[in-house]
Amino acid sequence: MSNNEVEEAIKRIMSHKGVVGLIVINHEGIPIKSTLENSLSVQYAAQVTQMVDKTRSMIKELDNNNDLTFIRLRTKKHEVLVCPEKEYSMIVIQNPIDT
Amino acid sequence: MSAPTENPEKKDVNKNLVYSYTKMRKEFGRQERCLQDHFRIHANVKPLQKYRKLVVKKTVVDRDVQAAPGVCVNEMNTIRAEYAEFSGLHEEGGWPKDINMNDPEMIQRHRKKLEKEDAFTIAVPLMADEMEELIKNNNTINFYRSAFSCDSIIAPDRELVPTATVVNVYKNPANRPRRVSRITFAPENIGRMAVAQCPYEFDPSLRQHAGEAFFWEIENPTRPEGMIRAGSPITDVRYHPKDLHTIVGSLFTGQVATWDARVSPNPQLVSTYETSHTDVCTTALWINSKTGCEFFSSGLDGQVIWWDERNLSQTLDTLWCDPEKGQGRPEFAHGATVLEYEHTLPTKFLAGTDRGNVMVFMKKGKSPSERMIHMYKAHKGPVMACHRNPMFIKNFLTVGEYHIRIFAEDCKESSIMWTVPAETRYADANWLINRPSCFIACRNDGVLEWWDLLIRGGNNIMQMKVCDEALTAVCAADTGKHIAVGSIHGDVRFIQMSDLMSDFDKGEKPMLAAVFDRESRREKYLEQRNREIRLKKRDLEKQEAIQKKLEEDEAAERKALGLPDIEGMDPIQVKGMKIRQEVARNPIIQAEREFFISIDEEIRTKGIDAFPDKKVAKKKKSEDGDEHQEGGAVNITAADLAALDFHEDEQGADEGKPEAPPAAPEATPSQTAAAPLPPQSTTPSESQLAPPEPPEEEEEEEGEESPADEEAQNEVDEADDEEEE
Repeated sequence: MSNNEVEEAIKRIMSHKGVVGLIVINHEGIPIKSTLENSLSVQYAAQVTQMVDKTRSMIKELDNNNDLTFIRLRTKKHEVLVCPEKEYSMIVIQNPIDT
Repeated sequence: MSAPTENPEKKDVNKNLVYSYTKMRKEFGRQERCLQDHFRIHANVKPLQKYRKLVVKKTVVDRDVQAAPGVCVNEMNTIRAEYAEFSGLHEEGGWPKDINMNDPEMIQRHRKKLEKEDAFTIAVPLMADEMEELIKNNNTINFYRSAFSCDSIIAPDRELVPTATVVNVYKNPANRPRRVSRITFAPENIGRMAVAQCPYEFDPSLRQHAGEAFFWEIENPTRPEGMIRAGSPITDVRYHPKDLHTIVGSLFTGQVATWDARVSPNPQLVSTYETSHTDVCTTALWINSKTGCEFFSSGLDGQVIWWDERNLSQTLDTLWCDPEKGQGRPEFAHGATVLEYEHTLPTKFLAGTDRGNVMVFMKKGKSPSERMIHMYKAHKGPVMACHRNPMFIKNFLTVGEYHIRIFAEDCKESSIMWTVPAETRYADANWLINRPSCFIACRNDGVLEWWDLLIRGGNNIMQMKVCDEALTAVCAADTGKHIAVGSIHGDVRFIQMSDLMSDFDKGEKPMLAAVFDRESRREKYLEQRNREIRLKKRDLEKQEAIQKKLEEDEAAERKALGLPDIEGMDPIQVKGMKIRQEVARNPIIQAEREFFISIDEEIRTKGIDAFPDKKVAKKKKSEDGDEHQEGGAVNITAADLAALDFHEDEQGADEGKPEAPPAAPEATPSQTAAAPLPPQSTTPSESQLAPPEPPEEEEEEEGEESPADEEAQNEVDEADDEEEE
């Protein structure tokens, strides 16, 4: 049941235009759910965890009342969206449309 | 010794200072005796009692009394940072300890367990919602397009100022400082370089040490990777282009040697003394050949020798660098200081000599006459380096004492571009590999210069003082971003350049081609012009020679004719003489002369009866009468006689008139201008020669007046005629 919600949410995201992949990682950095292949997921997980930590600490140091909501990383090839929560993080890779 | 006497004279001069000892002659040569009463008190200052009470004895002394400064020896050096590279292996982390990472089943199970946690099922939809917002945002609008018209502020492509920094210093591992004579990089960008060190000074003590060349790994500046050794210093060391481990080197004794770097630092083969160069061997280069084992070397004795690396006791071929084309004479050969060989142009090679010339040789000439194609005069001192441009192999640069010159093979007279004289001598220069319009040069004051032909042709684009001592060798690394430069102490510094000097766009190649083209065309025009000037000069000289010969002939002729010599006369007289001479020579004029003489004769003898028109003649005679008398020979002017020639029918004998119409000669342009005068010059044999001019002038003037008279007279005549009739 709750599982279905999870599945449904993921499917919804994947159905959007331009979405290449999705990864859900826990606080230890293990990719729990992923639509990409394992090695790539692991790489993303490792890199993103570090970056989220770094970014969060930076924001906290600058202003203690502030907090990180999400990270949007635009690269040459695509855009990486990271949504960090308390225990888990979701990473989505999207190819935005060039208008 | 007598008692010291004070010299009374000197006392006046310098009362306090001078003190003279006198010794009697009879006392010379005596044994010196040191007696106790030898001393004399000259001044004695007794302590003043009144100060006694003020004296304080200091029992504890805290100062040492010695008057020398205190020194101590202390050496200090920074700790040499030794770097070693390690790499770490990152494993997948995060999995709890009890789970074996490599077991996929366990992993799956763990994952499934995690999925079932409550937090997970709550968190994911939340995150998904947030994510959806962003995704929809992205899909609707392109956030990152440039909405503003100004250019993007994203970093400019090219920085405008070139920079370079010293990245590594490879210190001389040997004890004694020896200058770096060559740096080469291993082929195929492996990241290794070879440094040959050889002192060029003529110092016998240095000769006795064995020579070593070191191999360095670029990443590791603390310790050389390998070394090769030979009996005498190694001047040049080269990797084989295909095989990293075969190395050829040229030695100071003139021999060449090959090594296999894996086997031992001692040479595999050394060439024998008989077959080698008789002087220092300066360069050795590998050649493109079928066997891949051939190389050639050049030496200061003037020879270029081809070798096969498998057998160094025999030479494949030799060539003497004789500056005269077509000759290969050992006595006249110039020592070759550098060789240049380009693999893409295997038939030709360049040799720079110690006299400052660069010779282009054909490798496979059948006879010595076909060997040397051309010799370029480059510098006044020895050519220190000679390199072809990696992209435009027809152009090469040479480095001499204070200049760098760029040549194009087609322009044989001179270089197409050259630099202004630098402050100190250049030791070496080379093109950059990645950017063929740029070259680097190192100087004797430790400054490394970058020149770029596309950015600024007149001056270097950057100078960098690398070290305090002189730089002796420079080489561009295959990476394209680095340069290795060697100094006179044996250290090699590795310099990294900014992108400005290592990038080369596609558009720059035609620009560089245009630069070379333009300069070589300019040189060709100059060459052409020079040639023309030379030809003209030669023609002029030829003309002058002919002229001179002509004059000599004329002088001889004059002598033969009995005319006086021209020298000493003023120009007008000279002209007269020349005309006379021409007259004397010209057969037509001679004929005319004779004709006029005969007419003259007839006039004199027969009078007016000589001529048909007696009526006019009679009239004229009656009018003028007896004005014409002797002197007559001169007075019967050219004009007269000329007039006789043409106006015979009309006027008959105008001989009566002393003045003669010069209209006749003027009316007859066909007759030579000399005609009025030549009949006159018939007279020189008879009358005086000295002033022919004044009478001529007189007559000319008179002649000019007379046309008016003559016409008036004609009218009168006709009037008379009419009257008569």
